[in-house]
Amino acid sequence: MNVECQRVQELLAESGGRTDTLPEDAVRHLGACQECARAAEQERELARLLAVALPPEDAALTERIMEAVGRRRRAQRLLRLLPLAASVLLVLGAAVLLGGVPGSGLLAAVPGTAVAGCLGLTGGAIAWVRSVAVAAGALASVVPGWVIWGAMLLVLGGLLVGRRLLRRLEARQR
Amino acid sequence: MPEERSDEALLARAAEGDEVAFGVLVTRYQRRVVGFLVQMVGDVELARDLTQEVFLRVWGAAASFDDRYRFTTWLFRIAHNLAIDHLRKRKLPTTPLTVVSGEGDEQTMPIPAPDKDPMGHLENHELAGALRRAIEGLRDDYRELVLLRHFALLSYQEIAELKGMPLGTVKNKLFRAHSVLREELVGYRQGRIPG
Ligand SMILES: [Zn+2]
Repeated sequence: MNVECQRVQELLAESGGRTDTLPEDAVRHLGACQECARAAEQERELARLLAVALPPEDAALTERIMEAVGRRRRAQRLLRLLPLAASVLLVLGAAVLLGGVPGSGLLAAVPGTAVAGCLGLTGGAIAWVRSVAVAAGALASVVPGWVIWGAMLLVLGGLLVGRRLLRRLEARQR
Repeated sequence: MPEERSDEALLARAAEGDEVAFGVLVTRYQRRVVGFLVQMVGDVELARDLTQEVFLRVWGAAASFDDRYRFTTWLFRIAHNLAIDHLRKRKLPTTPLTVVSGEGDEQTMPIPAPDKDPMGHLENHELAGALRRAIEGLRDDYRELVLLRHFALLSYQEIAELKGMPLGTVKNKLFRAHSVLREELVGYRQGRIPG
């Protein structure tokens, strides 16, 4: 095969045998060269067959993929909540250690009705906060300080590991 | 009604958590990704698993998609990298494109009916099967480029960028791969048609 035939056949391979996108000199060559004209014909057939050589639509696979996406999405949501949950635990732990919210503390001393009135909180919510505060106070009096410190460190560690896991998961998806 | 939104618009919706938009993308490209991966790894079930992984990665990284590129370039870059990683890890040999049915019989992969003409369909079916076998038989580097070009529908330029190859090399290799495939098809027709 000469250089010109190779050049034209490279163009035909790229165009899928279509001649309307070829430069003029290549079209002229096709008119004069039987070998390249045959190659153009074969390229058109190849393009047609390549288009039908794909596997059929697979609805079950689509469903499987979408289920996996749903699961991944729920897992990501949970992982994103981890820092928030850890922060709440840390604040609670610190409050217990510092004795800031025992039953007789500031929060418990504020009249429920006033808080509800001012902040729009319900009496139930205030009662819940009070009972948590009382329970936390009671816990602080029973559980040694070092245990609470240890638990806080564990929470911090969990927070860091969780964040790293989340980042790794996101990096893996790129 | 067919979904007319562009791939990139659908991906932007998916990045905001729109699973329906993402489902449209999955439906739109699942066949091409499976077809591409089947030929890359030589195993239908593995290709289906990898296809799921490809779309999970797309979902997970949708927000980081660089819209200077086409969605398909990105999608098949992910599919290509995943297949290469898998082949490296497993050192998988390529196997014939057969699936095992529920009864344990091996069947060649089905292809869709391209037209209503039963004879034409049969001929297309046979020829497409012969073509898939011919693609399987190509040298690895030729096969990969053929798949990127015809299953992933990447342009020569995009393939050159993805493979880190000069454009001229991509052109030359694809020309040579096409020459082999054309010869195989001609040989198949001559062997099949009596006289
Ligand atoms: Zn010629």
